[in-house]
Amino acid sequence: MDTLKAIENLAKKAQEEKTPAFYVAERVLLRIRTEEEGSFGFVAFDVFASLSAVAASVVAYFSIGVLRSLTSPLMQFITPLQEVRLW
Amino acid sequence: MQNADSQDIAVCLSGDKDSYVRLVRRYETQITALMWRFTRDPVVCEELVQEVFVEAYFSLKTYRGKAPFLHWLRKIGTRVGYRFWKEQAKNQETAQLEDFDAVAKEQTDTIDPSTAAEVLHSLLARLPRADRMVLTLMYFEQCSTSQIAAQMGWSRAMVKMRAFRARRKLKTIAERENLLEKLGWIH
Repeated sequence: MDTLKAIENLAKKAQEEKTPAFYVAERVLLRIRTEEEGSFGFVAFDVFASLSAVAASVVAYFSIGVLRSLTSPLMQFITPLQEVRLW
Repeated sequence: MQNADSQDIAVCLSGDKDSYVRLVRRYETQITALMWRFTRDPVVCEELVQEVFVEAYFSLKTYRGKAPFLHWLRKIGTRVGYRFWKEQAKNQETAQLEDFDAVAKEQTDTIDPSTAAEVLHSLLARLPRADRMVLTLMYFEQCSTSQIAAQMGWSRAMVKMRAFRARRKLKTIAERENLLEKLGWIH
């Protein structure tokens, strides 16, 4: 008998095999719920991270404006002394 | 059946998970039969079946309803199985053919279907993953080249070429392992 023919005969017999039966509906539902809860936590983290980034951007925007208005931050301490007669 | 499927899918997409349970119960036997071609371990097989239905649930929005729901599920099943073989290859779990020696010498028409499936599974496991997929779908699932091409997203010409080469490789492996002698099929 030809080898390939023998393999085809094996395949024909193999098709008659009774496969095991599983009842997976409940477990599938459980896994879906678990994954959905996990993804909800991830979404919440994403939202929190986005809000933090927006807040940081606003603070940075104002900080840069204020810093630019100051030529030298230490000048604010020296300026009043220049007007006082020391002797 | 298709009407019931469409109805359940629509209800499921609106948020009712019970309708998805109905879909799972309707098709778990067929999907189990498919996933049994990827592993002979019942525990692993059950996990793969679950994986298929979980993946299908999260992709349900992409189901267009052009083909029957079972075809779509089988496509997902094939890809889950293919991925499983890839993981298996990483873990270097190569199938052994030592079980062949335990196969009783049988006539071609009296061999136990489960034994036949076991032997064929062990033989196919020695092929590269893509070749194994083509022959698994051809031998076990009686899929045509166009069906395999559709399920795997390959061209039909590629499937034909792969099938031709895979058969040649399988023949070499079977002859090296003295398959016919072990099965007592030499006349």
